Amino acid sequence: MDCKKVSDLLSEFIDGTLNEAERVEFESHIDQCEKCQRNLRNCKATLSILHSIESIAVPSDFTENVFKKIEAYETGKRALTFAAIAAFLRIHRRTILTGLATFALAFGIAVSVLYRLTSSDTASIADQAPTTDAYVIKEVVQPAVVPQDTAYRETDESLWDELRVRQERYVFPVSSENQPF
Amino acid sequence: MRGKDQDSTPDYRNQSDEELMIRARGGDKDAFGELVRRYGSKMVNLAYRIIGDRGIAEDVAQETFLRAYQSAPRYQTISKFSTWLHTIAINLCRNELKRRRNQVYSLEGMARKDDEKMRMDIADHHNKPDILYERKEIERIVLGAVESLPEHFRLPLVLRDIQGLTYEEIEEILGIPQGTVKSRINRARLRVKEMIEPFIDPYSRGSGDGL
Repeated sequence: MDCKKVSDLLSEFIDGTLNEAERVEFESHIDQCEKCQRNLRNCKATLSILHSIESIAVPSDFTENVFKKIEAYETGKRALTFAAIAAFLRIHRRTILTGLATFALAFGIAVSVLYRLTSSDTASIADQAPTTDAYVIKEVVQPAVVPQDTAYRETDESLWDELRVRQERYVFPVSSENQPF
Repeated sequence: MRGKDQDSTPDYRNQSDEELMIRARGGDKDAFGELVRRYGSKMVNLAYRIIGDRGIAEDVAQETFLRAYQSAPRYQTISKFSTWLHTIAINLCRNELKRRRNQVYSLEGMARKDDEKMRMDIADHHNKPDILYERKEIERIVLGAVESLPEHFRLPLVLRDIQGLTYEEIEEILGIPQGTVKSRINRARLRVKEMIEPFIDPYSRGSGDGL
């Protein structure tokens, strides 16, 4: 092992991370090389100073300041969310209003149609419905108005009444066919 | 409870970082407060040793915790909390260093000032080799040497020798192979050693490694 190699392995030797073979070689060289001994000694001294350097004091309000930053961040995040929503509404105001108006109109129309359909009577439905449906509905409705038997009876009676009146008031006109020569 | 750094909820003191982070992920701010208390000093010191400005270091450390809080829902327990937090801090430090690099004018001025100061210190020492340097003064010079290292040497060195992390953790935080981590740490240590040798070993002139 030469001086260059020893210099390359100086840190690892100090840290104790060299493998056994490397360590033996390293120590063997160091024992014979005054320059490398000096390097090793001064490197150890440098590290000793570095390791003993005192930490700088942290201000007593350090933790408090960290939490102030966190609170500012959270407040800012909330404000940013509101601002983003407000900006979105502002930019798309026209589209949103048009959409709302269209929806309201469609809703109004739908409600009005539904109301009309549910509140109309059967007849009006029949009137509006196609012919075939109307026929069926009328067939169903008719018997409810006047019972057919009664109607026939009334018609017959009225005919007989008329005949009786004619018999009483008028002489049946004698047709030329019935007259004697 | 929050804001009183000296008070730590007894229930949280016995819990691991990962357990606290899981609680924080569920919205427990006091658990997160305990993590801030545990790692506040480490994060401020890390940022300070990398950036070199105390005020900015505190801001970066606070920002680190804010980012950790924001990312809590994405925190996976497979990752060690301290490694995860260091990764956030290192990324913020890198951003800060990048921002500073973009301020070409002021940075050039700072670099010149640092170089001049370092050269003056060394020249003074060479002129007066018998000066016994106070320990604080040596520390200041060592930190100056660390600060003058290029970023790719400074970050692993700070993580290893000031933060006390393992090679494996540094590999994960910096996202570079462990062999590269070891090599960079070694070269960084040798560079710092070379810079402070005149102050700790008056007979070391000419013993440089040519790095």
